[in-house]
Amino acid sequence: MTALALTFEPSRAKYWAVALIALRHRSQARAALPLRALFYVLLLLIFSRIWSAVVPNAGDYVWYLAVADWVTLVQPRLFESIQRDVRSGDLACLLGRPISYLGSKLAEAFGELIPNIVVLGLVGALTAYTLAGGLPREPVGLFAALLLGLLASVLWQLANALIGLSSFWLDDCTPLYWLWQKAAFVLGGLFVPLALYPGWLQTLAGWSPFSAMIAGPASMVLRFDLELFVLLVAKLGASIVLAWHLLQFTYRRALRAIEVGGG
Amino acid sequence: MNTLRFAWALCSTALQESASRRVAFLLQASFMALNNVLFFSTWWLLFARFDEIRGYRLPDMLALFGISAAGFGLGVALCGGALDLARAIADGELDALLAQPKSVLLRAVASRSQASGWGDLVSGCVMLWLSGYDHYAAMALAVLLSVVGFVASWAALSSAAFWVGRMDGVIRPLIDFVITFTTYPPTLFGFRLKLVLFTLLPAGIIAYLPVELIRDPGLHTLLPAVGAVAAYALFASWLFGRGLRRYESGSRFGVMG
Repeated sequence: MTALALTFEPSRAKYWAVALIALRHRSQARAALPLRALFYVLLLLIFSRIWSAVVPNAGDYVWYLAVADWVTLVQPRLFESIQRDVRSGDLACLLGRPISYLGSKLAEAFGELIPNIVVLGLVGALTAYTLAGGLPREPVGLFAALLLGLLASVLWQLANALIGLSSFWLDDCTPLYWLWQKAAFVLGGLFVPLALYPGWLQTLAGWSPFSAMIAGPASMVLRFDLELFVLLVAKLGASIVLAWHLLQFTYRRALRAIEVGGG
Repeated sequence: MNTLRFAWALCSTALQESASRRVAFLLQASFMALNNVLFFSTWWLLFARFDEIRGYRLPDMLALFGISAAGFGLGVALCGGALDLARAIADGELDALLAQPKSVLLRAVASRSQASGWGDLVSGCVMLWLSGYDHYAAMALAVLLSVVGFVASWAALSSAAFWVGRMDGVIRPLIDFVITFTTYPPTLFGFRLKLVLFTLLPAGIIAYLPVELIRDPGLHTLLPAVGAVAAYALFASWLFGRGLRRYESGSRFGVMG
């Protein structure tokens, strides 16, 4: 079983097949995505009202929120899927397949992510355009935001997988996810741009990966800065490499925990 | 009186079941409380910059969020089955309750308890205390109204499953919409959206009317709050009863705990 943990080969076609199946499955679950899109529109509507009440030109903030919310709302809940497999005992069957369990779960999540990114991206752009009354101050920043958003999504899913793997030891890993998600919301500047935070909190947010994941892409539409963009790509890239190694390590430990338990 | 005693017995059994797994109980409750504090910090940050947002100040937001968190928390702690009612209807899981002498709705909603609800309740009460409003009787009544409103809204929305079948993928997000709207000031919304929030997605009945009871206690806020929640609860109960007539058995053999 330990050997299985070490044979994760991301280049194999079978992982693409899993991602494609997840993508098809997502497109067949017709109600879920439109409802998420509706929720996204309502959130933008609410926060555009809040910002228009406190600042004279709220258009830029609307675009900031559209990108920040897009990054968080497109994410599939991978930890739930892993937790379900662990709790139901399905994991025992899935581990026996000729494909890495962790690899197939990540492929599934990325398969779900693609339609979310496209559909919610279009909905968000249209809504922000309508509410803000035009394009953002730096339209080129939208492309930078897209690229950073994709990197942030990879990191988000790796972190989700880590939280999901914690269900090998915890009875329920959902509370852990709540904390992680809310820390991301606050330290990532989801609803309030980090520039408006008090100094000490800005520093704390800067040290966390969340600022690059959420505020990073969103800030590109406020002011596109090539140097900052490169820095954010490097920060997200380094965080992805670190999270990937941590995930591999945790996965090996998790499989060993099953062996000890005799499962 | 008998029904009340029965409801209390159901709730206490659900609570005992939930508290029996102590570590999970404490973990869920404490993490949920922390989760609420983290989430609310956004409002703290906003109000640190701006004194007022469309007539709402920090104490008003604390009161609104406190009502919503405490109402939701006590609702899922006492009637945790309500959140899963749509799936239970679609899966034919009400079979075991139909032959019982007591209310099917009451048994279905009060048969489960979510431990995280206690974390919501505690954090909600702390926020109410921090709000600085000091009419504690009004606060207690507002939380109670919010609990009834939340559970009634889950029952009413879930009752759609009697007519449309397996729709928990739609009903659950609608329930989440209601929860979300209860945490934003009503002054942000226009007339049309408010109409929706006082009917289809009754966040107004669950949180906006009860919070007025705290902000400005008196008969003029008490009567609308109590009247709206009572009317909505009766409507939810009636709707569930109508739906139950259309209920198709899941042909299940099982024992209800």
